[in-house]
Amino acid sequence: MKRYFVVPVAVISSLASLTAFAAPGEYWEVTSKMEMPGMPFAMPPTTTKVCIQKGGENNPEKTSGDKSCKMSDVKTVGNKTTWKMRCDRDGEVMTGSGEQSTSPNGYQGKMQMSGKSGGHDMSMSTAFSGKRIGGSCDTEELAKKVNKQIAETCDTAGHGAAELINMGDIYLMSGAMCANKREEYCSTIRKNVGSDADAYATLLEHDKNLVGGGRVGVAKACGVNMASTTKSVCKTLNDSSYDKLSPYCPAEAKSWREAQRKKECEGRSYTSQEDLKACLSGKNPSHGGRSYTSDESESSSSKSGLSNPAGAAIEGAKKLKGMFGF
Amino acid sequence: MRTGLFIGLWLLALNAPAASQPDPFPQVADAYLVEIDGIAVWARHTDRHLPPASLTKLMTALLALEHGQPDETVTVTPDATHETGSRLGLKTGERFKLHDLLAAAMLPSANDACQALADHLAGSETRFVARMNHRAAELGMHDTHFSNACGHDEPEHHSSAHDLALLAHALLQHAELLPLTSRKELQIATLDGARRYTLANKNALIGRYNGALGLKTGYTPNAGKCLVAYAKRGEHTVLLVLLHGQDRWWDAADILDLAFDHARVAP
Repeated sequence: MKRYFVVPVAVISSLASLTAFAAPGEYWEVTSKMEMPGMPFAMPPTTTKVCIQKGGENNPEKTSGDKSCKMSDVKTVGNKTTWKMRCDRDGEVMTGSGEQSTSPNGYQGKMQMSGKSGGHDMSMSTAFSGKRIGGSCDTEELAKKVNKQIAETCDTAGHGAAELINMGDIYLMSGAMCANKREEYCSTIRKNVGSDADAYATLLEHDKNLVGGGRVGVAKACGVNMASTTKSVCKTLNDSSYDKLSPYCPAEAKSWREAQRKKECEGRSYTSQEDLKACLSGKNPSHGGRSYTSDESESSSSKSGLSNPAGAAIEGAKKLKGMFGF
Repeated sequence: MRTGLFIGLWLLALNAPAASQPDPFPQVADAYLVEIDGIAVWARHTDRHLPPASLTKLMTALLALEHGQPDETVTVTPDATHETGSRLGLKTGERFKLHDLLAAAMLPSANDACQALADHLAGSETRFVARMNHRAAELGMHDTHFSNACGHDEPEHHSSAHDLALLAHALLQHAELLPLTSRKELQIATLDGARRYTLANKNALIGRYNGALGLKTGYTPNAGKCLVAYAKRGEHTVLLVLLHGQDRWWDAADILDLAFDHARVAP
């Protein structure tokens, strides 16, 4: 689902669900169905069990759990209540009106809203109904549960740096759920990204692929100095981090590859330093150090008796291939 | 173009972490240039005047492709048979298709084939070298001056990594080039079929390095080990110019691998 669908759905759900404010309540089964012009498919109705303050079912100002929405002109005549509403989410405003009718054990109504959401012009209508199930409940229960879930989600301690980078939106976007943990988040990123190859590579990949309005690069948002970070993380390049870091640390990766070759040559138990030197330079010690790829005299000014110098190159490369697999 | 190279490296340094190491391989050669998808990423002393050895033949090949026809007949001149260094041992009066002598100049870097082409295309090496220098100027190869057609060391015979990259790009415009330079081996014969030659490619990457397509090797005592390598993997291409290299094949394989690694993650 595109992001611009998510915000209105959240608005409507929170309104229609009639959840959460602190008071003794009772359970209701609430069903809502939203329609948006231009949507390629019809959204199915959603039904949830919610706790509503006793007597609050006919007051949208009380039943709305969405603090970004303000109700006005709330009027009740008989069993019918009407209202106007204005929802402001990070500067994107949607306005509309609603009405509902209540009966002893139920209510039904509809809302219309229009405005901006996710950077797009949006209009929608929602039909909703509620049926009293009964049973006492604490209207704060859901809020407590949600707050606990948010606290757990936003807790940086349970996540590795690479994982946190991929969760950047919930800390860094405007009005993000975990905005209050932003500095803690950024501190963790800054602390780890210069020594954790996985986090470093994830950071670059994440920030390269930002798509969608409002998304922010973690490095920029957290003030990560990429030049010094790259320098720092490249020093950690080793056997296990080579694959992650080689695209970003060419000098260190080259040195690592040379060290691997040295190890390979030393592992061949050559008896003399000359043999080892020859191996390291791509020559075959068993052939008197003749270059694998000898094309000496290609353009030299002396007369050459070289009948087929390319043969040495071919033979040499075969041995290169044998040694290091290319 | 040179300004473009600096701007390209500067922009990459701003945007790509790997390019924040603009010269990550200072030990591999006196001068080198690495381009990924046509953009310079890593470089060292790209404007330094250095002897290009047989990389000179890239210009000879360019003029042959621009001014010759693949099937036209080229007759080996006496001057060509006196060529030194790497050679096939051509005989005066032997006749070949131009394309076959081009292959001989490019794959085993045969100087006699190269000289025969120069004589055929311009009548003499002197006139051919003048055309080489004229074409170099047209391409903006401001750090290049040729004194001979095939790459022998001479005081005024020099080029630069940057200029050789320009030359390589001009050559790559010719579709018939890569099918030739990516051959490990090729058989050619005189037009009368009397003599056959087996051309083995001196480029050790061909057939062994995944994606290697060319282009040219070079060596003289003064120039050291030189290479213009071109490779393609997927949608990415890498051009590597090495002048006076150290462990040419190891370094080329390393750098090409690292360049393709970098291409994989580049923005």
